[in-house]
Amino acid sequence: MLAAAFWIAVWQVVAMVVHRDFLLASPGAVVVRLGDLVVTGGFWATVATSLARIVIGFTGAAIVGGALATLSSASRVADALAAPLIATIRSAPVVSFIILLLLWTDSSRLAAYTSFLMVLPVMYQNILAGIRNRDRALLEVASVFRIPWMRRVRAIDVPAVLPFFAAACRTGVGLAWKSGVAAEVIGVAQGSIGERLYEAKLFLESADLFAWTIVIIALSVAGEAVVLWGLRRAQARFVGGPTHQGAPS
Amino acid sequence: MRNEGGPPEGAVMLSGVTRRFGDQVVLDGFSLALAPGRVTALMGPNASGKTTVARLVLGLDRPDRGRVERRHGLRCAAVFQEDRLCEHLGAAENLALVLEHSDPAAIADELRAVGLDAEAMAKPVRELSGGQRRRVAIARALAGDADLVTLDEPFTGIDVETKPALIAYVRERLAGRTALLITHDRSEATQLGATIVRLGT
Repeated sequence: MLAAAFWIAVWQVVAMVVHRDFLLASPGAVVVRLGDLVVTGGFWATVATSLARIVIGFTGAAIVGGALATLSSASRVADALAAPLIATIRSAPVVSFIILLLLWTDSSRLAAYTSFLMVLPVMYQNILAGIRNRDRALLEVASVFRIPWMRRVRAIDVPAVLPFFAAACRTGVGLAWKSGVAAEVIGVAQGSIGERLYEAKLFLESADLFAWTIVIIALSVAGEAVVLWGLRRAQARFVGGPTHQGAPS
Repeated sequence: MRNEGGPPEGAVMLSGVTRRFGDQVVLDGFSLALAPGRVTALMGPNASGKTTVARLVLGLDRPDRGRVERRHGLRCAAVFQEDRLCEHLGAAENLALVLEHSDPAAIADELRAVGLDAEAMAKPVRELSGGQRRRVAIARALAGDADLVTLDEPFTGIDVETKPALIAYVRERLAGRTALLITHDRSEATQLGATIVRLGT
C-alpha cells in the first residue's frame, strides 16, 4: 500500500512539473474523470460490450484449448499437427492477428477472436502438461479395475489437471483483456472500451485514457478473482481441500 | 479340463516368457500356470521379477518373448506393491470408484471387515496411517467380484496383532477366485492355502 502511495505521489509531482493536462493528467483529475464516467449509462454499456466479447474469447479458448490438449494427449498425430500451429500463434505478434482478422471479420467480433487466439496457446499448453502429469500408477489402477471413464475423469484426471488449468486462467485473464482491448483500439470497435481509448488519444484527453485504463485493470483483476473463486470451488469439490500439489508457476 | 485354443476358465498361462529392461534380463523363459479358483504364491528374492510377473498377468506389461494367455473379458483386481489410492478421496469413495454397483452400506461393511473404524472412514486416505491405507487397498481389490486377483506383498505395514484377522478376511474373499500372491513370508502363503512357486535363485 505504501509503495502504491509512493508511486501515486511521484505521478502527482510529474503531472505538476509537466503542467499540461492533455499530456499527463494528475491523479486527482483522473479520479474526478472516473467519477464522472461511472455515473453515466454509456459507461456501463461500454463496459458490458467489451466484457461480453472478452469473456467469449477467453471461454472459447478454454474450451477449444482443453479439447485440443485432450486430442494431443491421446494421439501422436494430433500432437504433431497441433504443436507448430500453437507455437506459431503463441509467438506471432498480436497486431499481426488483429490486422489479419480485420480483413476477415468486422470490428465488433475482433476483440473476441483476438482474446481467443492469445489465450488458446496458454490453455492448450497448460492443460496438456496437466494431462501428462497424471499419476501413471493410478491410471494403471483404472485400467486393471476397468474404471468407467466418467469416474476416472472425475477422480484421477480432473484433480491432476486442475492446478495447471488454474495457472492458465491466471495468465489468461490478463492476456485476454490486454489483447482484446488492443484489438478494439485498432479496429475502433463501436461502443467498446477500445473506442473510448482511441477517442482519448484523438481528443488529447489523457484523464480519459488513465480513467479507462484503471477500468480495464479493475475488470481484469475482478475477472481473475471470479475465475479463481470458481476454480477454488471446483478444487474443493473434486480434490476436497485447498491443498495444491504440483502446481506450475 | 482344458479348453480348446485357450487357457482354462479364469486362469492365466505364461509360457516361456522373457522380459528385459535395457540390459537387465528380469525373466528368462519363465512359465507359470495360475490354477483356476486357486491361490498361487510366488516367492523369491528381491529383484527376481515377481512384480513383473504380476504386471504380465494383469496385462499391464508385455513379454519380449513367450506368450501370456488370459481369458478374454476377465475381470481383474489388484493389490499393488504400493497402495495406489486416490489420495483426496475417502476409503469408501476409493472402493466405490472400482465397484460396479456401489452400495454405501456394503462398502462400510467391507471396510469394517478389514479393520477400519468410522473415524478412519470419515477422512481422506492421505490422512490415514500406512497400515490403514494398506487395508483400504486390500478391501478395494477384494470387495468386487473380480475373477482374477493379484496381491503384491499385501500385508506390508500391517501390525502383527491384527494381521491374522486380515489374513482370514483375505482367505475368505479369495475363495473360488484365481489369485497370484507375491510374498516373502511362507506362512502367509500357507495360511491362504496357496500353491508355492519359487522364482529366481
